[in-house]
Amino acid sequence: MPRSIPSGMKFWQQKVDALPAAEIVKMYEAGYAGVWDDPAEKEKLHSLIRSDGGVVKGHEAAHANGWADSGKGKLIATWTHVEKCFPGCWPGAAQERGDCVSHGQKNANMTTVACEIIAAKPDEATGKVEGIPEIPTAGITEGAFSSEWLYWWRGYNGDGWSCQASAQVSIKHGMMLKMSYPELGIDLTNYSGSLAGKYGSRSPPAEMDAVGKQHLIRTATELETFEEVRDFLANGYGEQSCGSEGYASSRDENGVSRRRGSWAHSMAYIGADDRAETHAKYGGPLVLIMNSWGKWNSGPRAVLNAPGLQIPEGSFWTPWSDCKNRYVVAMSSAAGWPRKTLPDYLAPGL
Amino acid sequence: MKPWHWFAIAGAALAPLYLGIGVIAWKAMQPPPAPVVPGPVSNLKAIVTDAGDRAVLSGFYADFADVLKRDTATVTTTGAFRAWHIKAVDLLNQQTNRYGKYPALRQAVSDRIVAAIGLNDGAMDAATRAKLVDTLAGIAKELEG
Repeated sequence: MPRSIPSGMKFWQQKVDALPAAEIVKMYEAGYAGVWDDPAEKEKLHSLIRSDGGVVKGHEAAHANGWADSGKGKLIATWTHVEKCFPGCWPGAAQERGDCVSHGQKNANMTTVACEIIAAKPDEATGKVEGIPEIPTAGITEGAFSSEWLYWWRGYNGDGWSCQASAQVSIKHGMMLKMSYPELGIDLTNYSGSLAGKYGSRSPPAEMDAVGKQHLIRTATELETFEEVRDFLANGYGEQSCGSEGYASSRDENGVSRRRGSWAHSMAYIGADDRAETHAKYGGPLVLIMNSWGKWNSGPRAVLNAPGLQIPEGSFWTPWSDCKNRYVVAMSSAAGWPRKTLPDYLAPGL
Repeated sequence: MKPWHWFAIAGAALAPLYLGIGVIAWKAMQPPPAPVVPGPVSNLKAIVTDAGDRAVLSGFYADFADVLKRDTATVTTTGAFRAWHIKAVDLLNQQTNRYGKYPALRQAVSDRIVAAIGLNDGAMDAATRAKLVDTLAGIAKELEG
């Protein structure tokens, strides 16, 4: 497949399945590419979006649906919906190989699912109101949704991938959870580099695909401006991003990290801040980025002028000016999980 | 009487008219009677007759309401609240003669909560949390008398 990695970067090389998080960070800082731009996959994504009746460009979707500028001037705390539905899911397991695209994609998909659960409106295709899927606590701590499932469809055994391809996989092969699937002979509860590398040139079996396909992301849309990023997050759509920007590992008093170095890396966008006071302090709006390196960074997790609100471990705010060149794709509505009903609120001890 | 109660009674009355397998088959098809769901009990103080127990349980539900009101990160779904409620009551009453002593209160508390927030296992949004806090605080106040 034709791949275009930024000048000065190298294709990912790793002799073992699992590297410690600190080594993974060094790999990115040394110029190994976890992502690349793939024009052929981009065309395929556009074709897939159009074939499903979707819209390739985000601004068209936002205007067509009447919510362009709905996030203007606001703090868009989309990540809090994910934390409500899957408390403890972030930062999730740190990647052990060059599979960042699958982690970023997983986080974007999970954000869309969580927002739909919170919205509690009937799914547009099934008519059913969706609920929180049952995931064991250990699986939630590992990230709640499976990044491995997505990575298994990359089509080769090496590492590194493209956002354009991972978006297609989400639409064609759906999502799986970090839990055991005994009927499939697979346990996705705990992430590992070797599990992530179980399939690649060889695709997962059809019976697994049948399960994943029960929970498809319905379409995707490419975003180019901050306004689109902001508005799609405001309306509950998780976002995947790929680019070559690196960021400082320390956050300032408001959770902000500035550009430092270069990483050919994928990360999800999980919040946006377009408030006037943010523009005044940072010269423009901020985007909240969720990394996949565990607790790799440090510093306050506060949010400017929002006492009590915190960003997740492993995430950081950055000015739009520091991430504006990244490729961003928003993931639309998902075929989620049925809403569960509790039996009662009986406490046997009374 | 609800319409399908009538159906069950009428059906049972007709059963003797069918013989052998027909009777067995017809009975097998007869739906079970609907559970009678009582409305929320209005006098919790009358259920918990021991003044000492009332003081403990009142204090417990007042504290639980306060904790829930201030919480932002632990009890994030109604399912989580249900689990925490069960565990907290167990911890409160274990190794005491209060444990399991008031089944009517158990049901009444459950009914109050269901009436306030329903049985959906979903995210604890601000409105749901507020209703739950009010319900628990109301239970505490009633027990306090």
